[in-house]
Amino acid sequence: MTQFSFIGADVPRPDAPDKAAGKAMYIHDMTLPGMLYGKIKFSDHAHAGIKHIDTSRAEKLPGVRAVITGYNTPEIRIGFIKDNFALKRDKVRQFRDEVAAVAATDPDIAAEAIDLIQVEYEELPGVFSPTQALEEDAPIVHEIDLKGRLKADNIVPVPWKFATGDVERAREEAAHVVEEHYTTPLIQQSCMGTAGCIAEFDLSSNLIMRTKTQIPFLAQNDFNQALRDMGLKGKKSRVIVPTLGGSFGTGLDTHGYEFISILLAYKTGRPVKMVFSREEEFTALSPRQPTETHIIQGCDANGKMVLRNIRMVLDNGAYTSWGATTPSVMMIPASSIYRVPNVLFKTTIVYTNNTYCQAMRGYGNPQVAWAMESNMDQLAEVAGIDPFEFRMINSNIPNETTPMGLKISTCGMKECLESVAEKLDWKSICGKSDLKRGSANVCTTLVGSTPAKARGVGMAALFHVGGSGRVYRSDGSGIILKIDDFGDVSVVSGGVEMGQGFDSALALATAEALGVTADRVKIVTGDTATCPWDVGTHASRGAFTSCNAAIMAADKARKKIFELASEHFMLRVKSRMKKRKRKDADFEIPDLDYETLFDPSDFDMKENRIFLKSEPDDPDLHVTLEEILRAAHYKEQGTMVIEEAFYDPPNQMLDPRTGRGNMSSTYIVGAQGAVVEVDLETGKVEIIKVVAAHDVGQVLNQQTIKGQIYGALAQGIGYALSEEYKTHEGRNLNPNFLDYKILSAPDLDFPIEIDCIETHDKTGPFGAKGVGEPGLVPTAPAIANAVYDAIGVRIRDLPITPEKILAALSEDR
Amino acid sequence: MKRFAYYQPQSLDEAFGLMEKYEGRARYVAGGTDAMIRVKQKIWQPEALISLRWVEALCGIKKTGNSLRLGSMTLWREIETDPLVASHCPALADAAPMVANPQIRNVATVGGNLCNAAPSADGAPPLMVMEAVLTISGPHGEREVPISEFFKGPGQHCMQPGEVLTAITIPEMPMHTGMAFLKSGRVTQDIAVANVAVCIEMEGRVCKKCRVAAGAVGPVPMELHGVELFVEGKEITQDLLLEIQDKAAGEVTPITDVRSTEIYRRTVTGVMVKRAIEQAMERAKYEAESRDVAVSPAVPQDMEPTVGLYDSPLRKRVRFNLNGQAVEAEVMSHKMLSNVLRDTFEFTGTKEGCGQGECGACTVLVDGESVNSCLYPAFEVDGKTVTTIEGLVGEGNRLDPIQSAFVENGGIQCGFCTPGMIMSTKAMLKRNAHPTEEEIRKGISGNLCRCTGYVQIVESIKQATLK
Repeated sequence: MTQFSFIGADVPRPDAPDKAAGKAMYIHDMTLPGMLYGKIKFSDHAHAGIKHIDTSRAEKLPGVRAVITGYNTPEIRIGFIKDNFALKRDKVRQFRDEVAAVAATDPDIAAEAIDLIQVEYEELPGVFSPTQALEEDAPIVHEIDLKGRLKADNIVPVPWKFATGDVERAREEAAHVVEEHYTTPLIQQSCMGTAGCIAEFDLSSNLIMRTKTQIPFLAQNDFNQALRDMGLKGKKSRVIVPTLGGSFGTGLDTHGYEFISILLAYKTGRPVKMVFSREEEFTALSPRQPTETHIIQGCDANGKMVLRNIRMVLDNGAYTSWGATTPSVMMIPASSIYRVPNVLFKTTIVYTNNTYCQAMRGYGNPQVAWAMESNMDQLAEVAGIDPFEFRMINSNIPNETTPMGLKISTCGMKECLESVAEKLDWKSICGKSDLKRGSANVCTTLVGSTPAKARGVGMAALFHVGGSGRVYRSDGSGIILKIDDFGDVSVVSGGVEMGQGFDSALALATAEALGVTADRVKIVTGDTATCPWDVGTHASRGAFTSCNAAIMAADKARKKIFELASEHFMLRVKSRMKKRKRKDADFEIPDLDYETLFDPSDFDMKENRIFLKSEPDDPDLHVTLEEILRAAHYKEQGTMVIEEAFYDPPNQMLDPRTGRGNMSSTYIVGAQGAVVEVDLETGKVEIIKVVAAHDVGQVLNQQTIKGQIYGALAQGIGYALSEEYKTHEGRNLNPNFLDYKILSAPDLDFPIEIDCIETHDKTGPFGAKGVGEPGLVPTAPAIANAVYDAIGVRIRDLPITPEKILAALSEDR
Repeated sequence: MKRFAYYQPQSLDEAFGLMEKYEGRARYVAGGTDAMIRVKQKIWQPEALISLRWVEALCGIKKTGNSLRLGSMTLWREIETDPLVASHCPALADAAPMVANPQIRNVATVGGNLCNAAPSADGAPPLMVMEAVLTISGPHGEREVPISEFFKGPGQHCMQPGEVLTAITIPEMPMHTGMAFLKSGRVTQDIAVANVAVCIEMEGRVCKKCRVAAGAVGPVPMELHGVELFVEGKEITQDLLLEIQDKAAGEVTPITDVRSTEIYRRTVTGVMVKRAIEQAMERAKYEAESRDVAVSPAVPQDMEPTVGLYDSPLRKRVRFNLNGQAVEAEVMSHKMLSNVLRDTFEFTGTKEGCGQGECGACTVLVDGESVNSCLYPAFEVDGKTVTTIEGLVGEGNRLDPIQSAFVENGGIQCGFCTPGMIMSTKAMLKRNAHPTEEEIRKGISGNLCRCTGYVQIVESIKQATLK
């Protein structure tokens, strides 16, 4: 195994001190001279015709600089299939539809102006669930499609399907089959820093957009299109990304508020800032899609899986975002977790008058994993096999291509499963609760002064993209390495640090690859004018692709540095000797051939020190990086070291017809498990312990990788137990942290053990795989399986609330 | 937010006068942690808010004769830490640490909790089972009302416009009395899905007197008289407890809403009444053995108000100490401390994450205690000492040991919650230099983080205590 200098260390992140001191600049903290404050008037109805908008009173309010609607601004189309408009005309299709907006000198005035805008609507009947939307004669959300044809149904024209083998025949032949229905709710990303932007035009009408995004370059493309829509031909946009207060997928699309800010900035000639309040963040940003999953899985008499048939219905809401592509990522585990020869996976995405959805951490995988991994335990039970053993029997193995064409390279799934089982003391808990269905009478245990509790254990596995994911035609990341005279290295990247530890991973990887110490490395990101193109920081790809690009650029830089060294090395050594002699008269200058010109390939560099490979420890024959660079640059006809690289991973776009293609250049697998105690009287689930074992390829930074997994687990536990974005006829009922319950520190007061299993994937930077998302994928089914083990009751609809547990228990009695 | 005038009277008479002047278009405000949210959300649109913080007569916990008198402006923090409350009213002491979060308890008052008249008010059931008496003052005199007659409906109480709840008097409990408070929420830190208080007086094994109250299970915090009558005079056996559980579940009148369902609230109330009675019985035994706890005198509030001298109730010049330096600012009455810090002084380290006191990103120290600056009216900062995250950084960018510990131990990811988290930690460690892990987690329970899962934050805080 390679010995690393920095990779795998446990070190603080470079962005931490500024954040600890309160000095990091988020969009909320930025102001520009003359800046105005924008605010949006959202719809009062889930589905209605707009009859009239009266902005006259708002326009007269002192301090108001502009009031815009869809009627007095150019049409800007947005959304994955361009079915949305920045400002709505004629019709609203959800409560968050933007019908007007203002810019004012003060946020209070902007808010007051919004209240003065009067909109007359003609209410229309709406559809608020896929079932409702798919009924015959259901109200139609979009009357015409993109080509202007009448649309007869509410199906989003983005079908996803994968089929291999023959699930029907496999079902007939299977020894055991389980068929089940599962659902997941809307989930809000709940970034601590809300969304926002500042739009500004320079005097040539080019746009400078400071915005909270994960995709600065794709956003730039969208903004350029908007400028064209506004009639500003040949004008360009520049995207600047401030410090992000979390993102979790919210920054994967461009949003109505961004385009509205652009319109307001252009109209007023002033920078316009728009930052969402917490309530707006809930009601006007896109949450994770709710899903309904019908699943059939079967195995043979030996417990080998023979079929998986999944039909999913996604409530898309009123417009499309990139969230409409999440089934392409759902397909990955649906086709390939465990070794299943016959698979059918089909999704229907449905327009409704609910809030439109977007991707959130996990990109569809948490929804499909909920159904598959809960159902795995059901299948194990009917097959009479321990759920852990059942997973081991069917575990993925290294170096195998799945029917979807996914090339599994390294795969530590068995190690992960074993690690979880061992750390949870699986054998001594699993199946030992006497409250399983059909055994001891539940009621009798309720008598007595001690609260009746039952303990259980559960686990679930995960399979996710680990080597980026080709959702877009390009899956590339650029890097520029700029090394200055002082031996300081700027790593200029198009990636985005949003809290996940991107800067830290990139700094360590660059230091390791280049042969400098990490304190010499400065990560520069966040400006499309200076940073190289990057498709975006999503799909757990940031560290994977950018570190790979950095390694490529570092190789080029080393080559150049060693070329310079061959010219300057001995001269610098001699000069150092002379300097020493001047200070120390007793010093004897060694008798070396100072005219020697070494070949570039004779050199190596480690920790800022260039030396001869043949004499790595010679106390005289070495120079520092800065000595060489200074000598090469600060002279007549000098030169500098600036190298670039563009890494586009060896993966493939899915074939839309067959649903096949090696979407990621490697895959991450893992397992999580939990021990829970269920209070039989109150239905409360108390977590006793959680274990997560992930095949991460190679740890880059112990501290940040644990941070990713701990944080994802907390989101996964919230998904399992408490989080639910509730709506009634399209209106959000809990647009705040008072009623949307993310977990606080006391909720997580139990041991969490993490095991990072290293399989050293050859496509990964130093062997590493992407780790950002997977930590929350199997958490909810692991907990559900533990609850089932404890009380013999299976909850199929997330979240697993005490209300549902008591209802199920009483049904069971 | 609609603009409003903000007054800080120093006596009740001054307050009554102001209220009369506004003829019902003004509202009293106690700690403001609920009131400011309602004003921000335009649920309330008063022309004026009349702060009661500076009326000294409303402050403090006193033992008068055998009863305990809580000034209505007593902070939940004081209730939580007061030895008199702990010894006289264990049910109230149980409830105190479950009221919202540390930052809110540093500002919110027991009187405010009752006057909100929320069906879920955690303060109500304990005071109801102890048969507290409320003193209500108005321009036309003072009256006493048993707490059982105070609540009239969601958000409604028996006070006339202009009247102020001034004190809560808790009678002495007879020997062999035990009490308990239990709360059920969706997560640890939550408004109650249901809460229950029980107070029982035992005579041997027989229950002589029983008082049961429950919140969030009816339009008002309610007394469960059916359960009380059923229990009194009976020996409390395991079988009886099961009957009590059923009776309690049957007696409450909950609804289904965004927080829970009718049926669940019924069930969990029954379970909690049963469990609270068991707990109260235990305490009654213990209590009989150890009566009389040493009484420490209430610490007089040493305030030097610089208020009362407003230029106008809409705009005021406030002077305060900000991160060690005297500062002055002209502030509008509808602005919060977070606005002043971020906009006027450009200390943008203090974040605003929710504007409702739920996320804690705006936490700063006021006179050394953590508060949510997004709910702290700017007028109230006059004469105070405020410390923000910037104030912890020493010369030459020397980080505070807590800040360093967060940096070193991975306690920071996106960083948005970090300033508030660190300020809460600062306040916590000042009070308790060596907290247990459980205490650490409770100490930061008013600060939400979406990135870290708190593990490395807790680790950071542990490391900070070692420095």
